[in-house]
Amino acid sequence: MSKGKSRNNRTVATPVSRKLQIYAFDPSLDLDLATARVNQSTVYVRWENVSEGPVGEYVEVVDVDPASACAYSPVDLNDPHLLSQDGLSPSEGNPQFHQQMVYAVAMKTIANFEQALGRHIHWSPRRQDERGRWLGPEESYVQRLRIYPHALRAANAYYSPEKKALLFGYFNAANADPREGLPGGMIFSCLSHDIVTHEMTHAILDGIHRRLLEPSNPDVLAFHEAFADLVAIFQHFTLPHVLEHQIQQTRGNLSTQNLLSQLAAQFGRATKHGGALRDALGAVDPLTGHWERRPADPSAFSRTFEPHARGAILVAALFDGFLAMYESHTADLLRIASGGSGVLPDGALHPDLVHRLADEARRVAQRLLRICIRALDYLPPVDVTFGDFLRALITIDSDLVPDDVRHYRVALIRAFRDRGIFPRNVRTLAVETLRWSGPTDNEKTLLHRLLPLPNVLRTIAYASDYTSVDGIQNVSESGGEAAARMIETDRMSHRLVKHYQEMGSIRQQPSEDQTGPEDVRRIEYFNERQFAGYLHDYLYSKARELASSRDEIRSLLGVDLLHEDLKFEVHAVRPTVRIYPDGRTKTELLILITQRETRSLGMASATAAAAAEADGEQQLSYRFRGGCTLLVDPISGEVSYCIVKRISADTRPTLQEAFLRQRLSIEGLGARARYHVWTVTDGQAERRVPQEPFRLLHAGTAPEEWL
Amino acid sequence: MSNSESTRSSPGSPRLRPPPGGVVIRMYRQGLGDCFLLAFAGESRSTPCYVLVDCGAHFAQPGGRETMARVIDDLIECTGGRIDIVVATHEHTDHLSAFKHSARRLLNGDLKIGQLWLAWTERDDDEIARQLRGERVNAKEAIEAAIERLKEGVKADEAPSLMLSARLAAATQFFAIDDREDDDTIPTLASRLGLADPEKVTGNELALALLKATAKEVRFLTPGNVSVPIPGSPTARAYVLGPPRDMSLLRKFDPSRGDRHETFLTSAIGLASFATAAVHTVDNDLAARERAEFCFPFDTRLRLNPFVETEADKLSPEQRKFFDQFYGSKDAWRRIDRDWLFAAGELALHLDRHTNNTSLALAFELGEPGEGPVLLFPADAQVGNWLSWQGLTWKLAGREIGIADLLRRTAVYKVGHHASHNATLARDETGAEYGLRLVQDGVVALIPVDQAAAEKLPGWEMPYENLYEFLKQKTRGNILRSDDADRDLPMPRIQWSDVPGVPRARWRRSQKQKSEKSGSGPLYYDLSITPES
Repeated sequence: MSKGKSRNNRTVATPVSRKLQIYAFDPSLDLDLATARVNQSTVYVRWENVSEGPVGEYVEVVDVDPASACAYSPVDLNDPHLLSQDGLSPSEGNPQFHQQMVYAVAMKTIANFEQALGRHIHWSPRRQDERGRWLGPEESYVQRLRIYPHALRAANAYYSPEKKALLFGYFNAANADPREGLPGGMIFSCLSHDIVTHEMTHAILDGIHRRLLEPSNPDVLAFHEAFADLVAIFQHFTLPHVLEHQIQQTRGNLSTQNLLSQLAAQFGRATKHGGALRDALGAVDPLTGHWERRPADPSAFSRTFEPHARGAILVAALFDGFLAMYESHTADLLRIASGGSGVLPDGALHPDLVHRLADEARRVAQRLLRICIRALDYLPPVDVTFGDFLRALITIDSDLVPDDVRHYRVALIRAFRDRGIFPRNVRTLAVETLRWSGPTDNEKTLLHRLLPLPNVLRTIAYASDYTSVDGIQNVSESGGEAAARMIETDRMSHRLVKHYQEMGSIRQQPSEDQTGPEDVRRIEYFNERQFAGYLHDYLYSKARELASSRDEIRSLLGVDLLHEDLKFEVHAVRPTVRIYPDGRTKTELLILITQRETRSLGMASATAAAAAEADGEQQLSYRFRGGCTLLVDPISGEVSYCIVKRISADTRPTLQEAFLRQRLSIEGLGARARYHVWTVTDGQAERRVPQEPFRLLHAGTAPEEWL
Repeated sequence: MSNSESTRSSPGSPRLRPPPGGVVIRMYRQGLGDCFLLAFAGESRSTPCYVLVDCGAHFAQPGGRETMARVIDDLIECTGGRIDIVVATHEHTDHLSAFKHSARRLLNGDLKIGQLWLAWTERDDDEIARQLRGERVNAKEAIEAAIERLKEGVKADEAPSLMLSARLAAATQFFAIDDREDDDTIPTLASRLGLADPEKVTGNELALALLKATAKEVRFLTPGNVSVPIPGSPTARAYVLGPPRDMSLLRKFDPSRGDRHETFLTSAIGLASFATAAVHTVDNDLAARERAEFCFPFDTRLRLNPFVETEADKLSPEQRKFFDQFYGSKDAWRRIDRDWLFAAGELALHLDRHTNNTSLALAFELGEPGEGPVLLFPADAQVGNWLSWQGLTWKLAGREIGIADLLRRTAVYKVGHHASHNATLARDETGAEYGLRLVQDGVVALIPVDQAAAEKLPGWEMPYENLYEFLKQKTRGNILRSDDADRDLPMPRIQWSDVPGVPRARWRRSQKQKSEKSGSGPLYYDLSITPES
């Protein structure tokens, strides 16, 4: 479809979505008569300008296969023939379908995040080049995530923060049992809905929270994995037909074995015995070959450290929470359908009942996925733990739904408790104690004096709001009132104007044909950097004015704004949109402030110390970070939450050092890059070598289970 | 006490002599690497039976080669130049290197070998063994080819990116390329031994070939119902525990709870397709070509080659524009030309564990069958190998002896794989007590390790802390560690002395030093065990 035609002849509105066919799970389900019917699914992907690749606003699919020394022709989704039949039909042997599927699943995942967050997502910037040089705003901006569907000849797939790319592998299956798949047959990780969603989520999460790649405690990397699995699982519930089919299969009881709770079935079967790669509910017993529900084991959390396995505990807890909510929502339906007994008669369920149950499941899953994603904005900026995540979930849910009639929050807390996941330093597990507490009146006064005026904050919050995201309407009041007290706004806009003059070309008018948020995302990115710089200067000057309250500020924000050596950083300034169940929305401003300190880790062990003494002074150092997440109401200028990890804390560095020492002793000093630990020889720190944190962790995965 | 009498080294005779009916275990202290000389009581006092279990040092062990030369000297001296049995547990450098480095002394008869004991996995005429070795050879070729290509890449790149060099270093670290360290001597020796394809022979293959060529007799041992009498020793016998013939156990490396995660060397890692691409030879063999073709994900018709001039003509202008724009010189930092080759690192790790699991695991028993103390020598056996012992029973002198019985009577445990996390089992798959948990308190543990050297290797926590703490309890602190890194452990004196709290066990350290450097520490520890009479 050429651009010219559509421009001259616009009588038909731009479509809202593009229909594309995908495998609902992966190709293996096609071979099972019971699941073949639902495995091919058509999804609605937000309409955008897509060129060959597909290359759109957010992602670019580049299908080169270096191991095979070749490339595959990029698919043109705008080909009228493809437009008229919902894209290519699922096929393992057609690389163009693979490109279409990764594109469709990637865009669906992005849409889920944007709907929940109420803002555009951004990829993590490319801050350094491959030689370690720091890059300026123009060079560091990454518009599109790159996706390589056939990058590796290995049973592996990963997100590369270095290349801002997803790399998917393919391999010959290991199945010895032909009933589990063609022995030696080709398995493509890019054709697994779950694997694509999982890797995609890693990339999105890295864009939202860069520091989640810095494992300062055992939960950090595990959280990355858990979140990626969660999004993949809850996205199952949005696939048409699949849910109904599984409800019918399980007779409405989703706590029995079902496809919805499983991840990467084909991949799992091809690489090991006994079903899916991961399953939030249970596993196939290797001895009997039967699937069994895995009971909650409260001690597993304290002895599982491999990130995927530890993440699986969080996933299982949330899935338990989901089941409790689903059961509470459907108990009445089951009673109605069974004449009051709640016990369903034998045989197939009535299709109407299946639809109703599926509706409820979808709604609960959607709500849970949404609060999970929203909770990302309620996490401390550094050193995240599962406990912090629970507190964030409870906080966001309490804010959105003040009266918890169905006891969702209790169900969540119980599910976490049953898996041994507790936040540190809370006295009880009651909803009110778990909820992040807002600042006290004194603190509010202090924050008021520290932060810019409300209308300045408002300008920041709405400045990037050029278009609204997928039907989410923001409150409309914006720039108008900025007239009063012009000094600050002037100062800020001066920064922006200067910046754009330097940038020159970037602020183009969106062309008529562009319906996507193209330049808007780019502008948002530059704006955020300018606002952050502005806020940094503002906070610093205010902190100097308020020098007498330095200690209070430090304890309130967790960072010392006036420290002589340690600079602080305004890590992020972005709007976040709450959507209430009744459809109202509220925009808040999210400000993340962080500070870092380089501390000595000493030696990994006594023997290493002895060896090092022999060949020169060598020490290990690591980065200790503190900071806070501020949620500010831009209307009143009031801070609703201040979520802190203090840089001056006594216990956190001790815990982090113990954790780092333990990991290094298990994985060896060679793993120090993964843990952001560096050797310092005669005061000279070694060069930081970027690496791939999401490639298979080589070793040191099983030891914790030893005794 | 006759014991002290018999173990007193008589001046002028450096021969290692066991107490009557007992054994002296000489543990050499080269660091990361195994070398144990066992002197069992023989037919008469003057003719002990010498069993040598492995003889090597890891390439990452500083000073390893120098120490091993001294070890060989000592071996020749204290055995009079004749070892009754050499046990080569598995094909790893840290268990074999000294044989290759002392080839001359083996070939000219300075050190004579009676029997050579190997695991059944080394048999040439065994189908499973051949298959296993085939897998290993393929994996090795693929790893070497991949590393070679990565190195070429680094060389071609004028200023190689930090990331590439760092990742290359990490990948090669897993793969003990030390096998090739003395390139020039290996082919010469290999052709002298009449090995086919001498240029391709690795150091470990050479070591095994040397042993086979110089031993009077070669025995391949399979776990089974029959214990093996130790020739020349009427009071000792060996039980063969592993390697198992069950493929799935051979492929089990790590402890698991419920979720069985077998990793297949050949396939899960995608070896077949990885290897084909990495090795990249133009094969005239039609069948090989067909196999290689099967490793391509798509049909030939679908493959484009925008990167080769001659092929690029076949592309449409749109296609050419696309690949120029998205995979050309612009944004080269996002290209992934070499990323797939880094799978070599994982593959090397798997290969390493695969080989460990083919360890010939032995239990030596002294005294009456079913009654005397047991010396457990599992080499580097990993989880699957340990688990496979569970079903074994032996009928001897009217008794039925099971593995639990042997474990319970274990008096000396040579800790597996330098005390790594996955080479000592404490529970079986059902969670029941097994392995080390069945061994009685008061066992003496021997750990050949150098923690400082191991720390430089990725994923080598040796000794693994949890295991080490548990061993300390089990042994009541009676651990001989070759790196002496733990000051809490008792240090044997140069004179024989009792092992604290362990009846009928004595130990000493050598006056000989590990190297010329003074203070380099003793060359070996001796531990003597006498069964109850």
